[in-house]
Amino acid sequence: MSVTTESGGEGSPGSRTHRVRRALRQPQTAAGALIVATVTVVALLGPELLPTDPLAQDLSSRLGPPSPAHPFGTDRLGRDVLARVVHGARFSLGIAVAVTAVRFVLGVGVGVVAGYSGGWVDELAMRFVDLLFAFPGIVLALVIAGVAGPSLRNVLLALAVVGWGTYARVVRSEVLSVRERDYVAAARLSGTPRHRVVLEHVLPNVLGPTIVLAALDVGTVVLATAGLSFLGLGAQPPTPEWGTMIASGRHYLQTAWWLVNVPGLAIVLTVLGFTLLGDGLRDALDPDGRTDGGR
Amino acid sequence: MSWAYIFRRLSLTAVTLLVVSAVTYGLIAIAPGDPAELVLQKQLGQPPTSQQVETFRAEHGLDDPIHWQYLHWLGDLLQGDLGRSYYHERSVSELLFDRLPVTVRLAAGGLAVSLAVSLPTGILSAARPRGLADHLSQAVALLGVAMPNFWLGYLLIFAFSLKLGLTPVYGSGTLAHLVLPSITLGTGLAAIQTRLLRATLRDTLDAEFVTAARTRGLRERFVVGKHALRNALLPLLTVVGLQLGFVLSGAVVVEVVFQRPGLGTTLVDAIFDRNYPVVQGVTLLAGVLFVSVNTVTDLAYGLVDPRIDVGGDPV
Repeated sequence: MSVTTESGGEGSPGSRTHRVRRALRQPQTAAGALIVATVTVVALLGPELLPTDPLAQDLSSRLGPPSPAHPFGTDRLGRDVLARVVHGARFSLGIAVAVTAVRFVLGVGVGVVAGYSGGWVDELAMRFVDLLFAFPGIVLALVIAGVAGPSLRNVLLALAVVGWGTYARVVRSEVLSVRERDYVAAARLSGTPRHRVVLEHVLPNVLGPTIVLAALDVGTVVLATAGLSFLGLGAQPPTPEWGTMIASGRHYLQTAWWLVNVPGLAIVLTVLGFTLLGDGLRDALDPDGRTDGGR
Repeated sequence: MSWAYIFRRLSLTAVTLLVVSAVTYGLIAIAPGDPAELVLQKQLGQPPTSQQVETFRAEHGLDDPIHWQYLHWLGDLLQGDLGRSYYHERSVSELLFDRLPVTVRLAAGGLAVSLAVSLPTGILSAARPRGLADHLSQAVALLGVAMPNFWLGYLLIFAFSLKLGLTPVYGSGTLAHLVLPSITLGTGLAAIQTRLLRATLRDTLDAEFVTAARTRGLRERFVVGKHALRNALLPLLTVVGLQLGFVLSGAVVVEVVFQRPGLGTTLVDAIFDRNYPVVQGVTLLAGVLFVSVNTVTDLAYGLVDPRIDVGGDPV
C-alpha cells in the first residue's frame, strides 16, 4: 500500500484511487456501492421524501396487506410499514455508522500510539486488546447493554467498546512496518516534531486496510444492532428500528407476513451492500488479506 | 506448543473473566431501579411491602457496597458456588447444568449443518472456479453472511411449520425440534466456511506439490480430494474454532426465536428480570466455553501441522 502511494501519483496506474476505480468496474463491487448509496440516501433524505408519519396509528386499517395506499401493508396499530422501514434506516444505518466510526477512531488511535511508541505502552495496549478477543464480543455487548438498561445509546456504546480491537491490531502491525521506512526516518532526522511525523507520514500509509475493515464492519454492526434490538435491548417501541420491527411483527407470522419480511429484507439488502463493497475494496486495496489478520 | 504458552493463555483467560465480571458488577451498580422490588413484584404479582423488600435485600446481600458484593461473589466462586437465582431460590450452577445441554445440542446441530453444506460446496466451487456451481454457491454464501438469523428463523418457521406442517414450531426436546434451529444457526456458519474453504483450496491447487501430482498423471478428483483438501482443512478447523463466538451469540438469538430453554434464553430472561446472579453465571460460563474451545483448536492445529508453532508470538 505505502509503496504504491509513494511511487504513483493520484490517478496513475497502481495508485490507490486508480485501484478503487478499477474495483468499482467489477459488477459485484459496483452493485455493492449502488446499494450502499441508495440506503444512505434513504437514511438521509427518506423521511423528507416520504412524509407519512411512521408513528401515526390508524386502528381502522390494522394488519392491512400491501395495497396502493400502503405498499408494504400496515402493522397491528395500522401504522404504515413502508414509512417505518424508510424512517428506520436512519436508526439502523445511523447507529452502525456511529459504532464503526467510534471503533475506527479508537482502534486506529490505540494502534498508532502502540505501534509507534513501542515499549511498555505497546505491551499494555496489546494485552488489553487480547482481553477483548478472549471473550465473545456480541455476548459481552449483550450483557453490557442489557445491564446498563435497554436503549439504542447503550447498544451503541456496548458495540463500540467490544469491537475496536481488530482495528488496533491491524494498524499496529502496519505502523511497525512503516515506522522503519526511509521517508519516516528522514522526516524524523530532519527534526519534524513527533506528532507531525505520525500524522503526516505514518497515519496516511497505514489507513488502507482499516478502510476496508470499516466497510465490512458497517454490515456486521447493522446485523448486531438489529439483533440486539430484536432481543429487546436496543431501540424501544414505537421507534421504527428494523430489529425492533421484526420482534413485534413475529406474533403475526401467520396473518401478516409483511411485518417480519419487509424489515428483514431491508437488513439483508443493507448488509449485502456493505459486504459486496468491502470485498471489492479489499481485493483492490489489500490483496494480501491483512484485514483478516486480527480476526 | 509449550507449557509456557498454555500458562499464558490460562492467565489471560482468568484476567479476562475477572475484568468482565467486575465490569458487570460495575454496571449493576449504575443500573437504574432496584432489583429487589422488580423481582418481588414479579413473584408476588403485586407491589411488595417495604418489609418484604428489606428482607429480600438482606437475604441477597444487596445492602452491602457493590465492591463488597463483588468480592463476596468472587469468594464464593472460588469455592465453586455461583450463588442463587433471585427467583425460586434455585442455585445458579444447577440452573446452568440444566440449560447447557439444550445449547450444546443446538451448537452441535448448527455445526453439523454448516459442515455438511460448506465441505461439498467449497470443494465443488474450488475445483471448477467460475463454473455455474461456483457462481451459485458464492452468491448463496454471500446471502448467508448478510442474513440475520432471527429473520431466517421466522422464514423457516413460516415455510416448514406453518405452511407445510413438517416440523414443530417452538420448544425443544425431540430431534424434530432441533432441525429448524440447527439450519438457522448453521447457515451463517456455512457461508463463512464455504468462502474460506474455496479460497484456501484455490491457493493449494496452485501449489507446486499439486502441480507435481497432476504432472504425474493423477486424476483430478484424486488431486483435489487427497492432496489439496488435506491442506485446506487446516484453516477450516481454525475457523470452526473461531466461530464459537459466533455460535454462542447466534445461539442466543436462535433460542429466543424458537423459544428453546437454553443458556441464551436464560441470559436474556435474566437480564430483563434483573436476575444478576444468573447473568453473572451465564457470562462466566460463556467465557470459559469460548476460551476452552479456542485453546483446544490451537492445540489441534499444532497436532495436525507440526510445522506450526502456536506458542509463537501472536500477531
